[in-house]
Amino acid sequence: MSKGDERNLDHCLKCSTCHTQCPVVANYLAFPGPKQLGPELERLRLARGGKAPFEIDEALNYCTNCKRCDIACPHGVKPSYYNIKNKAKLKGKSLNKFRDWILAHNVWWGKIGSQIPSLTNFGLKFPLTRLSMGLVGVANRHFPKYEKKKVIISKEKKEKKALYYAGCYASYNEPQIIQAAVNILEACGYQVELAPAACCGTPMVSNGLLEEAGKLAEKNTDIFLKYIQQGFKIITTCSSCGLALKEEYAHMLPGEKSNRLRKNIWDLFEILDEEGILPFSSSQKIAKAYYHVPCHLKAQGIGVPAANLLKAIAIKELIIEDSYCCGISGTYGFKKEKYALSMAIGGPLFQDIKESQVPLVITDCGTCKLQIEHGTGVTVNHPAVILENYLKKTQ
Amino acid sequence: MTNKVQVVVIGGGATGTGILRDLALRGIDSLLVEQNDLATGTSGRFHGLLHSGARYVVKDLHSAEECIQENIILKEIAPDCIEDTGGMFIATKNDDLSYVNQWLEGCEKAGINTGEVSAQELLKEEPALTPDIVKAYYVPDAAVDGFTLAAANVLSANKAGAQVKTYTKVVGFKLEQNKVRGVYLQNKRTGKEELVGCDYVINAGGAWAGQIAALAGQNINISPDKGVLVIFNHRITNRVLNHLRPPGDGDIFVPHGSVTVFGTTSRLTSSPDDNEATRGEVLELLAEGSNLVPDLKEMRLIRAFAGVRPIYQPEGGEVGREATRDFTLIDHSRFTGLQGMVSVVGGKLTTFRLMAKVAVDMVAGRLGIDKPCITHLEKIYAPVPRNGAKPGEYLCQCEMVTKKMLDQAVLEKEQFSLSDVRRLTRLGMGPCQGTFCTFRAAGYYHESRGLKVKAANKLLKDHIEERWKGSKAVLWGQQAQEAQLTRGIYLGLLNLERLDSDRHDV
Repeated sequence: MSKGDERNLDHCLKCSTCHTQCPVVANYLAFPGPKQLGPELERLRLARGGKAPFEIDEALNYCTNCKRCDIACPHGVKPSYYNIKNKAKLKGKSLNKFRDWILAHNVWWGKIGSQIPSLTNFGLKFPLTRLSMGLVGVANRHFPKYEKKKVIISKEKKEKKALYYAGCYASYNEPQIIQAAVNILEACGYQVELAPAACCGTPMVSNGLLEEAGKLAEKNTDIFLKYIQQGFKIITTCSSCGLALKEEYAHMLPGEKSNRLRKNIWDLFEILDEEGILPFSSSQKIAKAYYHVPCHLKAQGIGVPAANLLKAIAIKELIIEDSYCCGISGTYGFKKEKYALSMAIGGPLFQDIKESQVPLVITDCGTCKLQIEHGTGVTVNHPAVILENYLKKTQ
Repeated sequence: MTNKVQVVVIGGGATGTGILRDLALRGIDSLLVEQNDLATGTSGRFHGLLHSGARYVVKDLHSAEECIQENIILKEIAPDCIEDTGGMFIATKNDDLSYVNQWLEGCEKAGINTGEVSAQELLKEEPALTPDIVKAYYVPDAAVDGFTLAAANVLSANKAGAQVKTYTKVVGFKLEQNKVRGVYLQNKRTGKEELVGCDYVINAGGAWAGQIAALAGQNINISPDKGVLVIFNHRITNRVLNHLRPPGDGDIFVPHGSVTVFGTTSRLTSSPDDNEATRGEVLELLAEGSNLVPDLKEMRLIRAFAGVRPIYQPEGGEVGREATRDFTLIDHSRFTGLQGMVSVVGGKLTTFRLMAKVAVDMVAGRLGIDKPCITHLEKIYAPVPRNGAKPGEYLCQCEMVTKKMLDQAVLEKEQFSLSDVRRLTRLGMGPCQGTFCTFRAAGYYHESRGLKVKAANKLLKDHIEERWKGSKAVLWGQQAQEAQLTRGIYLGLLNLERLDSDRHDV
């Protein structure tokens, strides 16, 4: 952890702006909130030599790591940094720890599950599976379907090179996002390769497995840097993966390497925006849709490049909304004791979507999609999947 | 209420309260008077270091020996008041290494355990330190809370039957045939005067001891020596940090609860009430401290303050850092023939219990009481313990002060200020310096104690002004921004300047 990170507690003026932006505080009054759990308690934790956690630290388990507090702070304090660090020190109930460990390793289950998707998907619905999941503290809700699909990539060598990092959700649950991203990048003149990297580590970070996430970050960083040296740009389509590579890795591995990495990470639509390339033609626009800004996209501080493109090219009336957290926060909403809270946090978003009577919701984040479909019954799609339909046919 | 006691103790610092406790535990009927609140003089205005004695081993071996003995006793009897952080002495490449050998010899003579630690190993534990460490040793220093210590002494003395009057000033002595017969007191809040008869007076007025003695026509030469200290927002090191060199300015860092206290300076001053730090003094300190903690100037300062060391100067003695840190018991009968009064001067907080013992031994002897001192055998306790609480119960979040603690802090007080509460609870001592807890506390007491609006407003206004005083010398960077937020809340939202009105009182 870098000195700068550790010391940013000195910048907190206690103004409580972060507190007003925390979706958990708004729905669960017993939650102490980012100001108290973050910079405030950190001073007192230091006073204990940082060793034994406070009783009140147990509340850290309720932090969704949405990072809305980080953006809210007018002084650049990152409460989520302290939350993550201290969550990793909690002991907690062993059964919940086991459950969290399972959820944190979604990459393994994804790898296995997507081998024979039909069997996995059947297994996930099987009453006995549901029962045993319930026993270890997994919420009784729909799991994402596992899917396997071969991605078609052009072998043609080009000057512009993109290493596309799909992330777990697209890889194991919705491979059409990968194909869409590859097609869009190729249409923009890129030679595309798929990143041979594993999970970005976000689920581990959120579940307090900081050490393991750190090792993974180190391994991934080395892989990415090798490609960067060869002139590749690293492209993501998952908001959380993008944020992890840009921000989380810098906290976990402060130094030259992560700095070099973060300068070469791009969201797919961020780079289209940057390069001004529009390989799309806008015929037959969709009449109306709703764009939900994922918290981790907001935290990247790049605006809403996908929504801007959608509005220009594919959708006549696009409602762009960044006020709400959907409440799923990766694995959070899959936990039995947090399920109701997760749905309560998402409540205002679900209501807004229902009231706007849209047939389609668009969002960049895989788990936001699961939550919104679960909460509204409205179809949700990734912007790449939508925009792929508007690629110029001449290409 | 009785207006005659056997002994009146003057001064509510560590020494005075220690004396009161010692008297009480020997069954001597006593009263302590203090012109302000407990520990508002030097006992509340120092670095909070419980010396191991290692700082004094080269120049003042006797003092060092007393320190280590008391250090061991106090850690045993006052765990509520002491955090046994341990301490370290480090010498950097710019320091004179021949001093290190002298120092080691001194520590050995005084019986202070030192453990050498390699620079590399120490930096792993204390990453804020300079990489230029040449020699480093652990010593048994600790952090002590002067406010809690004085209050814990009083709590113990109260249980044994002693009385305390705070905000009560000694305005004169009743002398008969060159013997002290009583003390004239004035309540600073009500202005009411009274006479309390006594057989003996122990003057433990610290930096004010000379002024007090003068009321009885006695002369004590106290040279008030001002020391400036600053408070950083968080812990910089986990152990007390000392510069291994002849004692000088800016060479002690004490991790104190959630903050770090850093100091000190040493300058002669004209008045014991000179307790304001200037910006220039703070900047000098920071320059000096950067030799040990390179990033010091970038760290957030929340406050600066000064205390006045009560250095006793017998005719022709040394002043400032050259003066002895030993204490002296002055039996006035030996100099002027005045019976019934002794003064305890000099010394330091670490040796307060020993000073009390020596003073009470003499006075008890004169009163014909032969009970021995037992202050080293019984524990003392903080009157307001810190316990865990649920979220939402904290009224001051910076320092985790609960409503229950606020109740306990004013339990037997008819009148109080938020500063009195602060000294017992740490209310308002964190980075926001009372910005968010002052209005909450004033509101809470308005409700729970039925304070009139005007009285609650006064609590609020006085506290904000008091906090502001200590911020003035460090108004740059984050603390300047904090002060602007404070200004916005109190002058803008709450219109503090017009808060005097009591028209809403029912």
